[in-house]
Amino acid sequence: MIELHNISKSFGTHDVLKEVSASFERGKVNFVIGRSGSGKSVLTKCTVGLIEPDVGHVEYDGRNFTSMSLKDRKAIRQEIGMLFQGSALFDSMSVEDNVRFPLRMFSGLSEKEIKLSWKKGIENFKSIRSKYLLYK
Amino acid sequence: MFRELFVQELESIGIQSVGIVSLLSLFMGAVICLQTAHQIGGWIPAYTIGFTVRQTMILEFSPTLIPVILAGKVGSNIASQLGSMRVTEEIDALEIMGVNSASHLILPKILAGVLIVPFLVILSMVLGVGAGAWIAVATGVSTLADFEYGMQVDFRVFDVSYALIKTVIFGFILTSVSAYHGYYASGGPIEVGRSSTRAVVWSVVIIMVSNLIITQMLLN
Repeated sequence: MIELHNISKSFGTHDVLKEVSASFERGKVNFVIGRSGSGKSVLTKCTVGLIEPDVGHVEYDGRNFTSMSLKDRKAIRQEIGMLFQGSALFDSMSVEDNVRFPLRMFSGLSEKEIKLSWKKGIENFKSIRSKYLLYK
Repeated sequence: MFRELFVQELESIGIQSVGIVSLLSLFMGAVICLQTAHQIGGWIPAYTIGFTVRQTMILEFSPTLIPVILAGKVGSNIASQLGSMRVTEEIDALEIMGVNSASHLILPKILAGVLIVPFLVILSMVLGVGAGAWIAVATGVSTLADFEYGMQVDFRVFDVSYALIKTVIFGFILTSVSAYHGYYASGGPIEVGRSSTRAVVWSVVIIMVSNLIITQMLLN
């Protein structure tokens, strides 16, 4: 479970978040809805540690994420998946290299194993896509 | 992964700069030769031309002006690349994955800069002095024998060491200052352009100030 406790964040004199508290339970889908500029992205970035809140803290399954060292945060971040507004694919890399990137960074697999894994993933994707097209 | 990025940066900073470095060095060596010949005006020994070309290229032109030129070419490239990655949230994506983005993106650039810039500077020295010799003979301002004698007279190996020490430091400055400005860019495409300009300006300023300090420390 992810819990936000009294999160506040200001940029200059502009208060974006004021004592926001929430809990996101495992297995549930949650929505954060608001007008443009209301602080949805800032809240999300505070939750994953890309922006440090001025006040308050975030807990992941009871672990205080806000006060953790960078090393400890790294372990939790590898449990997080986040899709950015602009997709955040690496422009300098091909699609294949984008997919391979986390495997190369974290899996400890050899280049050959990564290539096999990539091929397997692509085959799965193709079969899912063809099924989807058939249903359409 | 690091080795692959490092090799890419060597290619981007080093190999892709060979053309501009060669062009500038050839013309500067030739121009220094002609200007020196014009100044000495026949009453100072002709070997002075070779001596002056060698000293100018080794002490100042190659080790200082080549990094300044690279600050414009490579520095703006580094700043705009990292700035674009910042505003399109690619750096945030790396952080979310648990990757140390600064180490992953900046370290290969700095190491490549420190390693490859001295080689570009050595190339510049050789081409500049060579071009000076060629133009001296081609225009008849000096014989090849006089030029060669001037190139060798009062040669101190420490001058080359001094030049290379400067170069390593300038290689570090131009890559790290540019990377800093790109990495901490914020906003949109306009800000990326501004960070690129700031990177070039600050790199040049810091290179010039360091040049003065290093010269004072090593030569006096």
